[in-house]
Parts: sequence; structure tokens; C-alpha cells
Amino acid sequence: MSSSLIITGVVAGAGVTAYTTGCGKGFQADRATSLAITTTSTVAMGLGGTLMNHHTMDEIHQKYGSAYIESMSDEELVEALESLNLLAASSDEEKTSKLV
Amino acid sequence: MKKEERQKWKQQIKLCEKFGAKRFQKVVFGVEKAKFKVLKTIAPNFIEYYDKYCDWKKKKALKRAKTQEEKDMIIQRAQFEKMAMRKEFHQEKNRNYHMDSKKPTEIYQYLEWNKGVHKKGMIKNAILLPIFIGGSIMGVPGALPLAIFELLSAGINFECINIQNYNIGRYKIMEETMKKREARTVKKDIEEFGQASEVIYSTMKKKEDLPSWDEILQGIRNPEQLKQFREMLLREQSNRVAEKGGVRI
Repeated sequence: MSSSLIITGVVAGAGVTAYTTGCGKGFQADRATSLAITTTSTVAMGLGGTLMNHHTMDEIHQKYGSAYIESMSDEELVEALESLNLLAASSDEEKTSKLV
Repeated sequence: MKKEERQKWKQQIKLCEKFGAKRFQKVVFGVEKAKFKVLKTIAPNFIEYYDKYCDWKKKKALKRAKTQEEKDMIIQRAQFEKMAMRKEFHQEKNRNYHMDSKKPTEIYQYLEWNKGVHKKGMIKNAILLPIFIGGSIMGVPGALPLAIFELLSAGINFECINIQNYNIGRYKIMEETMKKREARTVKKDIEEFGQASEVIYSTMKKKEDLPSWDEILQGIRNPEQLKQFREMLLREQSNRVAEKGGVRI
């Protein structure tokens, strides 16, 4: 979370600085330049937002994942482990047959 | 936490202990153990009936929902409620009485909710008890046993509120530590099982009901996800063995 905030701050700050430098101090930037600067700062905000959302999505995934596993009975956990072992064994067999 | 606030919570804990919080808590755990034994004996298919109840509630709520976001929330709530009840039933731990070591801050809402239920009970007792006592004095048939019942109910409600105040006090003192612990646990889980959790999430998002384990398996695409699933299940098994102190099945 903190690294996402730092990245958001830096990138958005760069965009905003570019915008204010270009359009501030009474200087009227030409239309194409101001559009380019506005787009950069919007993309910077969006990128920062995406990075933060990605971190929040990880937490959402974790919430779903842990709730599902914790809801399984002891017997279901054992069966699930056996099915994973079978899946691992069958994918090993496939790799071996491909090599042959 | 400020020193004065900590002192306030400690005083609350001491007062609750004077009113028998620790002793009554043992009674509550004993009743809980008996409850699950009886439930599993007379209703081994309890989960199926509970699922149907959740689906009925979900259907009613979906009819009233106006936006897709609201509908998604309702579906999500029903899924989590089913999972929470399965966890309670399989592990024989009422969510109101047991703190989840991975999500310790979650207990607070259950403590407050449970306290609210017993507060409403006490209000009912306060209204009915004088009526039944008056009735028994006037010789109304059946009023005396009802008065005794309300008196017992009031005593139980009082002790339950007392236990919740006791546990709320203990929670509040540890709250900051628990929040940090929870944040560390979530971060570690994301690092170790992030891909596996994502598979579970995407599978659950595809349907309204809980997916079966086979449906989850079909979502596994690479060896890393398989490895994370295996480690996730093994860790869950080992946590349960540590908590039960029993033999692994």
C-alpha cells in the first residue's frame, strides 16, 4: 500500500508540475501543449489509482481465498489435497510423455 | 491508546469479573459444545437447510435491489454467510465466542451484535417480569412458572451482556496490536497464496452459489497455483490440529 502511494504521488506530481509549469505564471500554453500536459497528469492519476486498486484487489482475493478454505471440513481438506496430488501427478506424466 | 482509556477498560474488565464473567464464560463454552453435538446428531444436513435459508433471503433482497452493484453485494454477502456457517459447523466454534486468529478485529462486530441481542432480551424481561409477578400474586394460573422463566432469562441475559462487556474490554486494550497482526497476516497470505486466492475469487465470481472443489480445481492453470493451493490446504490442516490438539485425519 505505501509503495503504491509513493508511486502515485511521484507520477501524479510530475504530471501536475508539468501542467502548472506549462500553464501557470500568466502564460497561456497553446492548445496542443495544454492537452498533452493534461493527458499526462490524467494518465499519472489513473496509473496511481490502478496500482492502488491492484493492491486492494489482492486483499479481496485473500479474503475470498481464506474464507473458502476455512469453510471446508477436515474430510474435504483431505480430499482436496488428494485431488491436488493427482493433478500434480497427471501434469508430470504429460510432461514426461511430451519429452519422450 | 491513552493511559486513561486503558485504565477505563481495565476497570471495566475487573467489574465484569466481579459479576462472574470468567465463570459464566466456561458455562457458555460448555453449552456451545453440547449444542454442536446435539445439532450434528439430530441435523447432520444442517448446512443444506441453512444454504436454502440463505438462498431464500438472497432472492428476497435481489428483488428489492435497484443497481447491479447492490445485487453483487447481496450475492457476495450470501456466499460469505454460507462459508461462515460452514466454518462454525465444521469447527464447532460459534463466531460470537471465538476470535479468528487470522482476522482478530472481526470479533468486535460480533461482540457488539451479541450484546445488542441480549440487551433487547433484558428489555423484554423488564416488561414481562412485573406482569407475571403481578399475575401470580393475583392467582392467575400459569403466571408463576412464567415469572420464574422470565427471572431466569433475565439472569442469563445479564450474564451474557456482562461477558460481552468483559470481552469488549479485553479486545479494546489489544486492538492496536491486533490490527497490526492482522495487517501482517494479510500481507503474508497475499505473498504466499495470492495466485491461489485469485483462482478461488474468479471461480466464485462466475456463479451465485458456492463453487465445488472440482470447479476450483478447473481454474488452476500453472504449477505455481497448484503449489500454493497445496501449501494453503496443508497450513489450514496444521492450524486446526494445533487448535484442537488432536490427531490429523
